[in-house]
Amino acid sequence: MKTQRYRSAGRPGLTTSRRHRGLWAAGVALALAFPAAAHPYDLAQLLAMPLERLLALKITSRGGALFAAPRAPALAGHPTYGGDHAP
Amino acid sequence: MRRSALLLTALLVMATSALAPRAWGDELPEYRLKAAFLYNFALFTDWSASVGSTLNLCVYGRNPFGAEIDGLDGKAVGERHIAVHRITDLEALTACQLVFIADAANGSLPRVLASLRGVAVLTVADSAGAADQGVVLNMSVVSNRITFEANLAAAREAKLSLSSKLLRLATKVLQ
Repeated sequence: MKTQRYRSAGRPGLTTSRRHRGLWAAGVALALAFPAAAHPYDLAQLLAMPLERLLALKITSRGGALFAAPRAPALAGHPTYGGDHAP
Repeated sequence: MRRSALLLTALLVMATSALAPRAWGDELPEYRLKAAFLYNFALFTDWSASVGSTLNLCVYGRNPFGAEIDGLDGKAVGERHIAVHRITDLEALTACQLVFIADAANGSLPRVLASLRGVAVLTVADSAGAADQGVVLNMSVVSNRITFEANLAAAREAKLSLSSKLLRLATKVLQ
């Protein structure tokens, strides 16, 4: 059976099947390029998750923030070290 | 027309692929997830009633969490609230209820554990072999997932009670 093709009304020369193919390709490309978009976890979201769920999550980057600015207050009555640089 | 559609698709793939690693890398960094684990460790640990309304969470040594750790400040753990501190003085650690030993791999671990002997402090590290040396909970990364092992003997020595649920989820429990 011969496949019937229809001419696009708005774009002369572009068949609907070709247009669909192009849209599918663009959609797949976007889905492949942004796989992390489905897991936008910030700390607040992680804190709301049960431990079992945290165990199943995959980290996407290793290592720590070694030179982050200090924010936490000092522990009362004790000399503290506010930053991340060794004295 | 078909050629231009294919070209457009190829350009889209190249442009989005260039952006993707950054978006992906920013999604779930190791120490953001480890901060969430620290919070859960606090939830599943019982301190004695002598601990007041504040649960002092101390990061000893270099802080790998960066600003993420501040997200735990003020969070409720039962009737207590977490206060985050960055500590470099060993003597100050006895005022903490939960200590993350960041430099456990750098030889500081024996000194830290010796200074906390008999004190009700939940010690947490993320260095290979730390639980064997006496740290109560030690995190590892296996296949990009966080796992942890527990040292029950060390918990008992610190007069801490770890929930059975926490122990069930540990990959290894040292008795």
